[in-house]
Amino acid sequence: MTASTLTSDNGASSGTSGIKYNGGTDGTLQIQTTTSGGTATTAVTIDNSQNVSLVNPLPVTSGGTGANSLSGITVGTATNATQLNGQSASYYTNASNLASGTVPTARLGSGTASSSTYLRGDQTYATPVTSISAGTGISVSASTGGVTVTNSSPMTGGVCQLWVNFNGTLTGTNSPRASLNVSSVTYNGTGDYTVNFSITLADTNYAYVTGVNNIVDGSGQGYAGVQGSRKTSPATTSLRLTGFGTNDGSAQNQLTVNVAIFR
Amino acid sequence: MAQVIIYTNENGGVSVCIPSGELSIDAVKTKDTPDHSIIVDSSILPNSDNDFFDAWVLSGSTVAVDMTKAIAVQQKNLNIFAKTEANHRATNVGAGIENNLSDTDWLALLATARTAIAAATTTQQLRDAAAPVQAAIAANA
Repeated sequence: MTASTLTSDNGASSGTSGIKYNGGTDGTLQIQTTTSGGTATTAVTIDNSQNVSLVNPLPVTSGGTGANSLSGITVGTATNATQLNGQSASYYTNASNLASGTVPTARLGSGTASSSTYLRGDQTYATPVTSISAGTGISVSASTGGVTVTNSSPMTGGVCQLWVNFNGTLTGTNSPRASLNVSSVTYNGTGDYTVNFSITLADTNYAYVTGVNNIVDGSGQGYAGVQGSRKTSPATTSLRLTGFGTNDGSAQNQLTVNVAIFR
Repeated sequence: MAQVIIYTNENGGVSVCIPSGELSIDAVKTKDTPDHSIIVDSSILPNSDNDFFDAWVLSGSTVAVDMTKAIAVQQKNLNIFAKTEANHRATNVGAGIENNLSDTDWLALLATARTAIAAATTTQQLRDAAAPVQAAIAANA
């Protein structure tokens, strides 16, 4: 069988557009349109297996009726589809319907997601804080949780502003055993101590608490303690103390003197 | 040895300022001690005579024990011991407990000690002078 062409124009003179039926030699059947210049363009092809292909997709209009099922068809755009898999469009925009799989970390926030970062409230992956510094003088260890306070100004809130434990017997080398916010201890005489602060307290209306553990000098009888000096008033930068012991209250050195100041 | 800050205080004695380590010793000197204070090595202090700290005097950068002051310190110490023991002895008498020394011997012991203290020329002699009194006190129940 030879190829044949059936042309059906609009009855006008040559060169006008029309419809052309083109039977191919391989058994295909084409339906073409022809421009006024004679250029033919295939619109529909039916091959020898009876498959139909369209150059342009068929429009599907709202409210139209079609096949009960479509298979093997790629839909380029379905702008106004009302359902997919029996669900409305809102179903697929509701995060509560995520029931399987894992949301990629890149969808959750910016930055680098890793085992050493966490997702902040501003949707940014950030490195965990290993230590914090709230102003000058306080830090928290991420490894031990220990809080180190080395404040250069008084703390507020009725806390212990400073404390010290020192040997009240002068040996020349006995710096305070332990302390906070105490710069030095001055030995002025037997049982006569000045605790010097490394901070300046707000005023002198602070409460100081003292204690000793034993008498070093004296007879070993009677009582012992440390009290505020009778000749030097408390100051915002220092506190002078008198160690005493024995029954007559004479000045005495103390093996251990403990002082804490609250404000 | 550690460094300390020393200066002559308002009593004519020596004040010894020992930093805690929170601040440098220069900062402590500026903040905690008067202008005439000096920084010295603690080894220059007469540490073997700490019990006579109130008799220390500073001359230049040297600290030494003033024996006149030391004698006064030891006399004061002896008086403290004596008064404390006097109360103890009276309490014993009131409680029917016999003291280890008679009043006569006790007073004689004190007098001997006071004489020895007044004549002492070294701090060790001062300690030795008071030692019998302290031993008697310790032995009296």
